[in-house]
Amino acid sequence: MILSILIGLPIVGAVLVGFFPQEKVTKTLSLLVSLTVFIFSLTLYSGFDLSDAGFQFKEQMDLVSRFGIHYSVGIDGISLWLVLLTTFMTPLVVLGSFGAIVENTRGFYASVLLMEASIIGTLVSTDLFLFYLFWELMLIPAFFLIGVWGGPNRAKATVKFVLFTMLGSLLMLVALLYVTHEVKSFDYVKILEHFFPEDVQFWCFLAFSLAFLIKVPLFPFHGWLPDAYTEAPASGTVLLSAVLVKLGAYGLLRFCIPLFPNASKDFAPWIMVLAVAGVVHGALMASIQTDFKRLAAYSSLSHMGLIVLGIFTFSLTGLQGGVLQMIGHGVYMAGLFLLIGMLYERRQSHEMEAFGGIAKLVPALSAAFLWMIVAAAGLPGFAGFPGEILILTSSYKSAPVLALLAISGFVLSAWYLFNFYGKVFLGPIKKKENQKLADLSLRECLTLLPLAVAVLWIGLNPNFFLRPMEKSLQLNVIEKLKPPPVMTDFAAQQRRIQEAVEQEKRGR
Amino acid sequence: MGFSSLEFWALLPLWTVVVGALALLFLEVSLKEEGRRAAPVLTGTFLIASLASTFHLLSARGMPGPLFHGTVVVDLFSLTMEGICLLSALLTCVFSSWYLKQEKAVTGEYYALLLLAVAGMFTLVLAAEFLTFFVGLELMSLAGYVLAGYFRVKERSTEAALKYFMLGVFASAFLLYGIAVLYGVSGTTHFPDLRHFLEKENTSSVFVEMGVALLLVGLGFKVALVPFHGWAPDVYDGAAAPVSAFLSTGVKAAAFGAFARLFAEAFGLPGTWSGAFAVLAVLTMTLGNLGALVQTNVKRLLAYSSVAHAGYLMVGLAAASSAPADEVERAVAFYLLAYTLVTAGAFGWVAWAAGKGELKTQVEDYRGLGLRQPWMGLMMAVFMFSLAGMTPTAGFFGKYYLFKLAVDHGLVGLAIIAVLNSFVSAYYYLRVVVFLFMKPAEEARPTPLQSTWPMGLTFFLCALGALAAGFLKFPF
Repeated sequence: MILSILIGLPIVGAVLVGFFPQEKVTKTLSLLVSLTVFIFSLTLYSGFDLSDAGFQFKEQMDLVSRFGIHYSVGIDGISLWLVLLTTFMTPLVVLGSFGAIVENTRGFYASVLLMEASIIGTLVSTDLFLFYLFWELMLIPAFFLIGVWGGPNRAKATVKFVLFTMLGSLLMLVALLYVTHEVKSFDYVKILEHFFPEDVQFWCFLAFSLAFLIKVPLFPFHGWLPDAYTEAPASGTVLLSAVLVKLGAYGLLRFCIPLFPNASKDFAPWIMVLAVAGVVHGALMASIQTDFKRLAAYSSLSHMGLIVLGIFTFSLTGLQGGVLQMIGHGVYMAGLFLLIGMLYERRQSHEMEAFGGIAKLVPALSAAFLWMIVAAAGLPGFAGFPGEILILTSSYKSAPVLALLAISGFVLSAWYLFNFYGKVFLGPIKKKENQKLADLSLRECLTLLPLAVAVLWIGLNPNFFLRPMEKSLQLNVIEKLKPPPVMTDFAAQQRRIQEAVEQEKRGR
Repeated sequence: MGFSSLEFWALLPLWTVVVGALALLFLEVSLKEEGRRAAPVLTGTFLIASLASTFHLLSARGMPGPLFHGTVVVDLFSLTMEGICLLSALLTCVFSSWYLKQEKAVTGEYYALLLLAVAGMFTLVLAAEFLTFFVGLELMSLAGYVLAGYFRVKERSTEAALKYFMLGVFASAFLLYGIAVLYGVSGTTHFPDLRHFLEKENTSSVFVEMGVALLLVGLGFKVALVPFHGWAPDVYDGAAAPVSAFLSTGVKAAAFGAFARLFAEAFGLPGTWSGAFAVLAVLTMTLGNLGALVQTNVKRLLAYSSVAHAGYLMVGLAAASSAPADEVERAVAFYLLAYTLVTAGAFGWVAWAAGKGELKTQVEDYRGLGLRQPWMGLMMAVFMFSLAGMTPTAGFFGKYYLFKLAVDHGLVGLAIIAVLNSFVSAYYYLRVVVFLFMKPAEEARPTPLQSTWPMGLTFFLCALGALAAGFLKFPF
């Protein structure tokens, strides 16, 4: 029941919000709904059976019985944390946008809630059709979030985002149709047991991975990202960078690798090269930006490359690092983009030039910024560190050159982040307009506090997060990649060959 | 030649609309003003009565099957198609009742023509024999020509009607030729006999091929397949928006239903035709979508989009060579249902948003409209999302079933072309939504558009249907 509540409650909330034109009611209602969803989702952790690697909290119901499509949901160690990340982030996004969103508020909060529902739906679906349904549904609220409440070039950015994503998912749809036709079922667990021939794996892997790599996005499929991140309202960017793009990496883990293991192994070197290219490209692009929202966007791109690198090492450390980094990246990126939004609310600018030396004027705000930047730069004890270390050590084992290049991306990352901090917050106060900047309000503190705590928690106690995912990653990903057992019984093999030869003779 | 009570009851939906059409004409002559005012309500009543009897037949166990010496067949598919035609007519009736009042052109014969067209559609989708087929098609088309030119004071409306008529007659001539040739070869006009003959002969003679090709051209004109689609944009643009809603959904759906039945059942679609269908599908989808990409007028955009949707339907028919007929018919019927709901809704919406005299049909005219009137804007957004085939709308499910048919029967390449087309189409559908919600209005304070509750409710039901249809259980 619990998973259906997590999907259903935000949808009900979104519909209800649509009926209340009063701004206050809308805000309270959406905050209440998202908080309730978060509280419900905590029972997922408390009820999670660590010894079970398969799906838990399963539910099944006929959806379109004629075609054998089921509403079937469940979570395992891989999706557990991403679901919790989503439910954790949504109330903060709602709270964080109380000040920034002043027009068409009900549409905004309805979109945020609908987005939450579709993201959770995507994560918990164990039926391929249902998965696709939610996966595509996500586009509609995202389309509105960027397009209605975004910056001056919002229309172009949102259409670009939707079309990029759609191209990938439509090709995935054909592959999905093919796969489900071969297996004659939409059930993920059943499809997982099926072994596809080489050429089918090749094409289906291409189609599936294209959809997911565009979503991540991996270099060179990232064309939509800078515009979408920059033009979206701060809260929209938070949802995109903290949660939505994680679904790309999740898709790779859940579908591409386990369903098409041979093709995954063939493609892994290429994808790893692209991932590192993305790390370096993102870092270089970030270091030349003057607009700090764009800087954060490229930095997010760079860090996502690392996650893909970790996943495609196919080692338990790399995979765990990848998932841990998804959570960590989600938390500190959300913090950064929320803070950037707060700064924008005060000065209506994303340019570094417009600020300078404001640490003296807004000490709390700058301290919060520093906290998140330290985490993003990957300093030990903060959220970025454990994931990075796991990914880098495991990739160093399989591809040392790539790992070294990725590390260089990280050195750069520390440089541009602190450079940004110095330019905006340190030194003498450059602009007079900044004299009147207000420090964090109570509401803003409340928004940031959970993130600040989470950043530290992930950094200091990564085992808490790693333990539940270990078994599922082992069973669902690593086991699938092992070559099928070689026949050691020589006599049996001989006998089988003999039989085949005889059969052919008889056939003639 | 009397007929049995079964034959009477099985065709009750048809009798209802015929009686309705005659009653409306009678009232128009005898009551004048009062009759005119009552016309839309009366039409709606007859349509709903007809719909109720269709549902009753659908829910009954066992289908009557062939009736009237095998000239018509009442089965799941024909009843479903009847339901879709009625849905389209009902929506048109609601939109027209309001539109005609606004344009001060209320007359009874408009509604009588609407009902007559529905009677033609019924005959067409029920037909199991070529002459009945042709009579139905002509009755539907003739009423359609008049409706297209109903606002004869408007130049564009007259032009639309003339174009529609000329090409329509042209297409009918092709059809008749085809029917004549097939009759000459096989000596029968009944579909089952024809199929029997074709199977027995096994060698397809050049005359059979010629006859089928002529029929394909004729029907291609009627459902606007590329390269026979030239009339569609002008007609749908020139006719009054509610009429365009009717022509692009009900008339098209009926013609397509008959098309599907003819090729899936009567001809059994031998392999060679599958290739021709695939080529037609690719051409129709691609050119329809490319045409729609450059449109700035929403009515023309919808017209090209309706061409493209005929292409998607052809993808399903191309798979018919190896798929069982009922599977194809199911997929086609669901797609037509989804398509009818949202296309009629979208044309109706344009009728509302274009204002008096249909002056505002450019996409530019709708800048910021969705922000000023969020519910109405949202309805149009749902229609657009459904046409673009985005989840969870009915449009997605419709496409899914058709493309699944193609993939299941080995036409993966065709399915890939179809989804790429669907991708292209997303651009222009989303553009409408972008103008509605993401571009600020130019005037500071545009006057809000008036809407009446029946119309708002109709849009709402269309949108709700588009969101829910994929999850409902249908008898077909």
